[in-house]
Amino acid sequence: MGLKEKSKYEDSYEFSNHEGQQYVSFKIAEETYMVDIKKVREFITYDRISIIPNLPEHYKGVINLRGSIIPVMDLRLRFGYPQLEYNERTVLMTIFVEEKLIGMVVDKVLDVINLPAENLQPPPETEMIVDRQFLEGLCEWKGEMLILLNLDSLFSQDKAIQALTGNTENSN
Amino acid sequence: MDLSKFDPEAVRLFLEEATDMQDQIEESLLTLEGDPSNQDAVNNAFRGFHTIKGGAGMIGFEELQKYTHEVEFLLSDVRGGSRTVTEELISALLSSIDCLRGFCSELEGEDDFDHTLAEASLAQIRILSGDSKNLEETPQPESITQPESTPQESASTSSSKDTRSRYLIRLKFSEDILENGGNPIVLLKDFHEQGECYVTPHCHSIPDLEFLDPTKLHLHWSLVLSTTKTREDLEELLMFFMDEEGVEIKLIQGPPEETKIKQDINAGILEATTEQLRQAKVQESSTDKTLKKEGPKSPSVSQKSETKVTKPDTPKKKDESGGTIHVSNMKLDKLMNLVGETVINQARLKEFGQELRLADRRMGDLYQQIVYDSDIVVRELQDQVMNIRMVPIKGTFLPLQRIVRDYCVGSGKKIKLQISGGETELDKNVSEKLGGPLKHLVRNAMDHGIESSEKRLETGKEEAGTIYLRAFHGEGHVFIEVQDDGGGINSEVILQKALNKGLIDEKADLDEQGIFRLLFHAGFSTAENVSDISGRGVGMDVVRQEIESLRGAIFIKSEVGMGSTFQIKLPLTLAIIEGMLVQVKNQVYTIPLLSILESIRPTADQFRTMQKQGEVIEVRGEYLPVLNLGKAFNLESDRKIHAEKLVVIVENNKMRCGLLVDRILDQQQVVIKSMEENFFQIPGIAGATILGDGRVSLILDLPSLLRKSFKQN
Repeated sequence: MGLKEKSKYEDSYEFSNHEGQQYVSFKIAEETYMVDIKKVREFITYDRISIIPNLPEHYKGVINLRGSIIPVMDLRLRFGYPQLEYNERTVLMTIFVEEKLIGMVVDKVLDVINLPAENLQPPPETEMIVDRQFLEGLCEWKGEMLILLNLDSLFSQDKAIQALTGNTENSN
Repeated sequence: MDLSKFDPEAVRLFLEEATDMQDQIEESLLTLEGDPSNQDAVNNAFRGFHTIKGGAGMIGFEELQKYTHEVEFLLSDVRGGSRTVTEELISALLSSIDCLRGFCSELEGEDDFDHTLAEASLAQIRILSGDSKNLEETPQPESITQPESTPQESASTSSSKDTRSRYLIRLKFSEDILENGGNPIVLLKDFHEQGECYVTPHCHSIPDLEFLDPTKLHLHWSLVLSTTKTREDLEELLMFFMDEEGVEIKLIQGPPEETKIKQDINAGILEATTEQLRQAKVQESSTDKTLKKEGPKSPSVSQKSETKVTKPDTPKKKDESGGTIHVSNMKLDKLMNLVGETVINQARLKEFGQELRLADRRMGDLYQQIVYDSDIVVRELQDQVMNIRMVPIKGTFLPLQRIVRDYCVGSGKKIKLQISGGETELDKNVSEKLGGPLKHLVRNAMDHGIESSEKRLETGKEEAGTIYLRAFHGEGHVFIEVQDDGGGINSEVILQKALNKGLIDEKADLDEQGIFRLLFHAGFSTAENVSDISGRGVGMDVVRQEIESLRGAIFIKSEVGMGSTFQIKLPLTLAIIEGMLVQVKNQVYTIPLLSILESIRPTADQFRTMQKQGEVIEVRGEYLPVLNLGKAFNLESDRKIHAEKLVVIVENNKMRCGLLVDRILDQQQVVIKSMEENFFQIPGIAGATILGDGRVSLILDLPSLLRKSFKQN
């Protein structure tokens, strides 16, 4: 997608939405997560994946998206849940992370929601139960807790680990 | 430097232009050094500096503008013939290009440019310009040898009053000139500096206030200029505006240069301009009145003596050679992607055609005909897009001329560089990455290859050494050769040195090529004395690495006393490789065909194990390690009988290894896609490609896979 195209979309959202940001919510196991809608490019079905060797388990491989090779990450595995069997209803969200396009497998896409910025609260101050860096915020919405994901850190951590292992291999 | 004050888009355009110009200027200067009477070269260099000056002014980079102005000043003396071309002059001008490059890289935000360098260079330029001013006062005998500039020259050097010419200059720009960055005020000031100048503004086309668009230019001007400058000088000032219809210079009174120009104008141009002339005459009469009011300067604006001069040659030439556009690599890559996708879709359409034919033969045939027709177009499209990426290698060769020249000045050796095949095209990325290795090879040839003048004369050679730089196509590859007629490489010396350094043992039985290959070992240097140019022993292995990273190879031919040739063999493009598709479990991998030696179907007793784990395979008495791709990529846990499998034997960097695969599918050209575009680099994987059915196939990175397998065994 060209930069111009992207900014055009951003503008139109600005106009359509005066009260706050728009988010896409989705389910992973029993939890409901959300991401900024501007980061989401499209939803596709899970199909014909090529396995990449020697990567953390949550990277399922790469797919061909109209000529681009994009990696696929299973968020279930990323958060430590057991994997679900993939079928024709398995959804892949393609998301922009640091100018790269990544496919993420989620259980179920729920809704697009308008959320006033003041509804967001910072994640709890604890390092005990979760990897806090993946969380950008929490909010209460229609009686449910939504978790806003920090996508950048989700990917950059893996990148750092990968760079490290790649380097040790080369230096040997 | 504070870059925020510049408009980034304008800076980008300026840098693109400036980069081109710097290369052009450099080339012209080197030509000029070889042929000091080459007026084209002077003009080219002058124009280059002038364009950069204009561009710098446009983006508001005053320091650069001032700098180029001084250089331009010096060059204009050279152009006028009042300054002869010397080595010192060329050196000063060349170093000024380095300064320009420094300014530009600073503008790019890359690194800070040491401005004292620019000052030093400027001082040198000023000294040279000062020289020429002294010279200017004495008549110039050598200007006669340059007939092109003779009449004007004599007019401007002997500054008697008679030779003052009077020009009528009409400046009527198009309305949107201000938006395009033109600044008429600066231009008027420039004309003022040329001599006595009377300006009449014409205000009648200014609209009423309510219709006035302040971003448009509504004024135009007539100037009467009395000057010793030539028409060319004035046209130079108008260089960026000569395309404007309402801009013209007419001679009212002066040396009879007009007749000469008249001859130059061919009938076609005359015809085309008759209409303009007629219009001009109408305007003329109104201008006349104003002029008369101004004073007795031009009592009669003589229509007879004037000739309308259309656009001068210089900007025209520029237009022709400037028939190119700059396109970002990103756009090209995107185009490549789309074409690649189309090719893949085409394959799917063909597959579907075969199925359709089974169901309905007539429809199937019709359909397939359509697919084949569009196939032709798609292939042509693919060829053309690939072709866009191809650039002549000349751009990589030219900087080497400069290196050779600088080396000769510095060392006192006499070396000629002979370039041929500069028009040979290869992939832009390859061409760019080749610069470093070539530089190294040429430096080596100058430092170690070519002997000193005395030694050359002793051995009956010409005093000046020659380095040949050649490029040519052949065998589906591009070949580039760096050849020198120097002392050659003594294989005995290399062998001895390698033994001393412990790189090989005495038993090693090496043929000549094998011995030469030792040169590419890290830490190997045969230079008897190490200079700052080369000989630190880190060069050749880096050269080899870089060539190999371009999927190329390098060969050495040499004969003692006759010289050496380094031959580089490169693929035409980096975007496509010939690959073998293999299947492992349900995955398809691509192995670069270049690395494959053979494929075998071994029997069970050819496999051996070592320490219960490492496997080897016996092939004609030789034991090779076996890499089980399925196991290495964690695709399977069960240990099947290997006898049902195939082994592809690959070689890289003298390491040989067998890859265990389930099936060999096909051999085809594949388009390489980067994994890093949306991911990160993965050990063992060089990239990916998309198969005919739309699936992704990973391309194996054999060097890293082999390293890994050798570690394991």
